[in-house]
Amino acid sequence: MSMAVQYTAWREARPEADSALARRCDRTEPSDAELAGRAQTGDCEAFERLVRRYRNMVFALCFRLVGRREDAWDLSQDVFLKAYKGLKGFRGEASFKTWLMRITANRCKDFLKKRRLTTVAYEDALRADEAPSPAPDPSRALEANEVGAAIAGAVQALSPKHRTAFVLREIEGLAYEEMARVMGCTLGTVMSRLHYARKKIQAALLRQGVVEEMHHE
Amino acid sequence: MNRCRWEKRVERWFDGESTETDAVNRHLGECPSCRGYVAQLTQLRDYARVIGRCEGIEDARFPIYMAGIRERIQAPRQWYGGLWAMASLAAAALIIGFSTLIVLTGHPSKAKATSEIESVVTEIEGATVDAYSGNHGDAVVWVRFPDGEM
Repeated sequence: MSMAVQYTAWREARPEADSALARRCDRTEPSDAELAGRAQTGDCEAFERLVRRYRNMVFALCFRLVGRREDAWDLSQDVFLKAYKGLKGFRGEASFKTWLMRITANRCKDFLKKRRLTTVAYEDALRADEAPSPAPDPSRALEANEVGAAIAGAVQALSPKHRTAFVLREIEGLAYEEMARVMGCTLGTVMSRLHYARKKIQAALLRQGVVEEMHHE
Repeated sequence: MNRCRWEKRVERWFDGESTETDAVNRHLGECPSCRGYVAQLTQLRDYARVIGRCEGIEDARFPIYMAGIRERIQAPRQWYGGLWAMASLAAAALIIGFSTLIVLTGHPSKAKATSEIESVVTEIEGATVDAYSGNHGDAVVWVRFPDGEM
């Protein structure tokens, strides 16, 4: 299968993706480092391209950490504002993506500290477009919605640092080392927070009857 | 379920971060508790995918989104304003307060006489004495000698 066919198939499977592979296939698409370098010198078009490239990643991470779309919209714009102002300090030691995720995590942490949110926004947890694909049986669809709401609630009930650890690992799929760079902590702290987050969520789901105690032979 | 001391190592293995894969695999073959833990982690990961989906910012809304960012970039910096205003007020209050203090407490200067005391007597030959009562109930005495020395 030719590279072009592979790329087309891959893009059709992930229409919203905008990754390094896509950029390698598209020879006219500059790298993050190039765009960041140009944006540092005041090239607004380069900065806009970076925003276009990472807007969904930043928005999604904000939404998963704060639980409300409206807040995620404002916060993600704040993130790009901070990124714009901090471009001079971006030295390329970490990837631009990791650097941006770090700004996002810190901004959301500050926002949550101010708001001290401990409850989930149920209207966001129950949005039909974020629920699993509809089941033929309405009762199964309801069950899926309830599970979604329960786990969203359990994640939102975590403290910001534990929530961040869980979201970065289980949803964003980051490796431990990248998580450590984003969260600004050691590998040991990453593992500890992730372990704690999983235990808390599991306990919450057990209490709500969403999962049963595992007895494995 | 009783916790096994291998739990955290199993977790690292589950996340693909383990450096002792063989040892963990052997342990899982022997430990039902850790096998149960792996099943829990797998279930949790499946549930996380339920909440993982998120509609991003579609292309049609991107111009509004980008306009919002540009607005924030171009907005004048405000966080100094409040601080400067407070600092200015504080400095002004300090200056006024200090000046008032100086005016009220006064400094050792020549007392301005408001009235001449009727009579003062001196035994110094050739000297004349004038005395005045000051504003604060004190008295100022001027002694003039024939050659003007005081």
